Amino acid sequence: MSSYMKPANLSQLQDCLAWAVSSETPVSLIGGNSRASLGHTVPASHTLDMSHFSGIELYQPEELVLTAGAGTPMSEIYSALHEQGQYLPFTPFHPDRTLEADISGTQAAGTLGGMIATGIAGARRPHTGSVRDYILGVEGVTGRAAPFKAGGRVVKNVTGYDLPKLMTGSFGTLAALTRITIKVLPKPTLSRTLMFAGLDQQAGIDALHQASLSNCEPTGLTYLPTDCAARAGLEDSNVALIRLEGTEASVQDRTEALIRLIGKSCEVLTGETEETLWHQITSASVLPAASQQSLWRITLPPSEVTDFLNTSSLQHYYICWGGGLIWALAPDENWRPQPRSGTAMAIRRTRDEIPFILPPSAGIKALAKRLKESFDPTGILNPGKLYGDF
Amino acid sequence: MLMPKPEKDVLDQYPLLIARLQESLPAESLVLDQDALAAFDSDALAGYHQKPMLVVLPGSTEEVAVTLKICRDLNIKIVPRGGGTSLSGGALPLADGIVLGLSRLNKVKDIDYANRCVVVEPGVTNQRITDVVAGNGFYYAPDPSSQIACTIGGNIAENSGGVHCLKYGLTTNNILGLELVTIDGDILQFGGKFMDDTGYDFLGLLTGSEGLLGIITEVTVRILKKPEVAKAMLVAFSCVEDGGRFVGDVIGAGIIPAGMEMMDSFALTAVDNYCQLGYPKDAGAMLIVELDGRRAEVDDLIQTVEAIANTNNATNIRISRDDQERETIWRGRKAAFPAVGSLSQDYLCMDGTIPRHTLPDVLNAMKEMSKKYGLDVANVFHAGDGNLHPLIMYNASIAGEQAKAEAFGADILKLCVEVGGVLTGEHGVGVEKRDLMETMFTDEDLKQQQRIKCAFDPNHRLNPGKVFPTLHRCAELGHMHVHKGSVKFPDLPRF
Repeated sequence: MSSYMKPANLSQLQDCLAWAVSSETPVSLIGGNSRASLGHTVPASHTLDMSHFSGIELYQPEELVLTAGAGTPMSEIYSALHEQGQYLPFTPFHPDRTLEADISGTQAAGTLGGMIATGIAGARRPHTGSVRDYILGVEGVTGRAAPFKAGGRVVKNVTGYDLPKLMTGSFGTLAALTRITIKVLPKPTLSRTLMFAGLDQQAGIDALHQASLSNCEPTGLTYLPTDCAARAGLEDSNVALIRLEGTEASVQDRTEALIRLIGKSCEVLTGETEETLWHQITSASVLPAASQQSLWRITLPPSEVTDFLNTSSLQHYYICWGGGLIWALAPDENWRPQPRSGTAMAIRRTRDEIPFILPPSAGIKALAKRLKESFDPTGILNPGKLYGDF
Repeated sequence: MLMPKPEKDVLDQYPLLIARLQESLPAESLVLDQDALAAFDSDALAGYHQKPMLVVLPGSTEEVAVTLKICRDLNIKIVPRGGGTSLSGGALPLADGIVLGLSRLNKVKDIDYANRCVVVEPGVTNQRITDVVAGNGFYYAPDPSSQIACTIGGNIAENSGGVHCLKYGLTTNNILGLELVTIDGDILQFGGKFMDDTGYDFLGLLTGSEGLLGIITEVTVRILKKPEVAKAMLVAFSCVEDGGRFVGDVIGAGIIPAGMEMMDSFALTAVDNYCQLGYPKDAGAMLIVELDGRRAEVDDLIQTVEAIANTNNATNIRISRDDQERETIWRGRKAAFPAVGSLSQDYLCMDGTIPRHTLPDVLNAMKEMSKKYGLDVANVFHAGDGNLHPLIMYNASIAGEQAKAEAFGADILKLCVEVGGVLTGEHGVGVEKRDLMETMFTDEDLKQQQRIKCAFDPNHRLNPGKVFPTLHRCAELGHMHVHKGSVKFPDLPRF
């Protein structure tokens, strides 16, 4: 038997989960059903659709705060923010590459709840923080069928444990969220990307490194090998890309400073070309599309990027976060990244045996399991989705 | 504020506890002398004192682990302590517990510019992290006002803020890795010199957990490049309403200042009498706005902010021309607490956060409360992020006055929650706000938080009596309220 439950309100959601608990039936949570490919397959024939918990309930641009139902479409959120000249600085990752042309986000797929549950940040992360740095408050129902809330709607809050952060990136394994409050920021008035073409890999990495150690506050630090640059419609050569954002005077000043610092000539990208480029970088669509290979997102100390690449024999990859993030296609079907320190997530897995995330130490895994049990002792919420076995 | 009653069978373990600790730890790691213990009987929350059974000052992570294993064997409670600067009683000892002081773990282990991070032990002070990297033009952003004395371990426990939070975030936004010794003495490493570890966000959960989940023995913090220039503006308004609107307009214009501080007329008069900085004393509210970055950007933004100030009827604007003038402008804000201290025998510093637009209403309500309680209150306010620090003045030597000040403080915090804010922005719940948690959270909210506590510390031996107003046994919390067959199949649309 399978069923599709779509609760209309909190009490129906509680009923659904109470039933799941009492019958020990696992459920698979969905919002916009657009990020379902992320994570392990949940062994559940019952689906809990959260999309009725929809709508922006409070948006105060001067307070930099927005509260909305977890099922609110991201397109609605992007539109509201766009109208007020604000944005989500962490530019969430979305696995659907067909959306890459939609810069304004008005056609973005997915829901706020899905964005929080997956918690994957884009190119600005080293400068502006990650998804988890922008969540202020949550409400929802735990795997005990009990309603709960945590956090608040103010930026500075240390009242009780920071459960909003714990929910971010937990892939729906702890609670079904109904309402989420996030911090938003004013969108910079001007953006400009400096493209240094023809640098070999080490020179490219060095340029990103120099920029990241300067006071020029770059908000994007990416290196694309030739094949990725070509797929992005750029030069037929390696490129190092450095984005600067802010007021006109400030961007102009930092542009000059960076060109002096790196000591090479560059091309300046602006407007739609620039926006499309960073969208492609965030959504990994500069890598080959219909691939039979797993797609990995590897985070590591920036200084270890060269060593990692030298020992990994990768064919298709590119570098973000000034060396702190590598997107890579697995060179063969058994390949798993082994950064000396750091971690990795298999955004696309060709085989079920491939772990979704590199396994943590036994001690941390045991603690994560106890944490899961504290919210969901019968294991009904997305069991196995994140850690594989619970 | 009542603390959990000391357990006799725990107190009876005292001789055995000493014997076991002496057997496993060097003499310099133990404080047993009753006079010496007095130095640990309180933190910066005035009025609360309790001597612990003894104090352990471990010299290594391994000594922390050994101590926790011995405490587990003997069922001893543990109160962690960093610099002892908590304003909420987070390090208040227990009569039937030890204090685990991390002050000797004070090594800077690694300065790594390539990865823009520093690895330190928990007893390193906040200020020292900036000091060790300042020569190369870097700094550590969170700057709680106690930064010369407070430790990074304590900052993790309380998720400390400071005046630069709006732009640079709190402690939780500036750390990459933690080493934690669990209640069972196991050593776990979370994160490292990289961003965004996968799996549950343990860094987020542990930061601000007030020493209830484990002992932090190593911290990896992010460091930032020091801005080329920072300028401070002092802007006076005739009333709080104008000041409040100014703050909203600055942010509305897309500007996130490095700091934005407000003082009400009581606070600014107190400060000016104390340090004679020539503040406009007739002002109803005064703001300090700091902008930082590269010179071209700061010069550009200063002009915009100045125009916004004029639109909102600013009565006085002063802009720092160099670092010395900037420091003069800030000196008054930094002296606000001692300035109020000079006017009053004692004062209580509150720490609620409110949605910024409610500020005028909240300040007016506070004036009414001040009349009702017959106690003066001065307000300093992190205006950018809505964090309010009302300073309630009282005299502890007058019978009943401390209780009156505490009741006044509780009323202020309840008001903060009522207008959509929270009980504590950066000082922590600790002992001080423990019994107010129910004004913000339901019983189930608090039970779920305690279940998390149980996942780390099933016997409530780490810092009990803090944060949670009611201690539930973990077995009781584990109980499910939904029983097989007791809930009917939900009546829902199905496909």
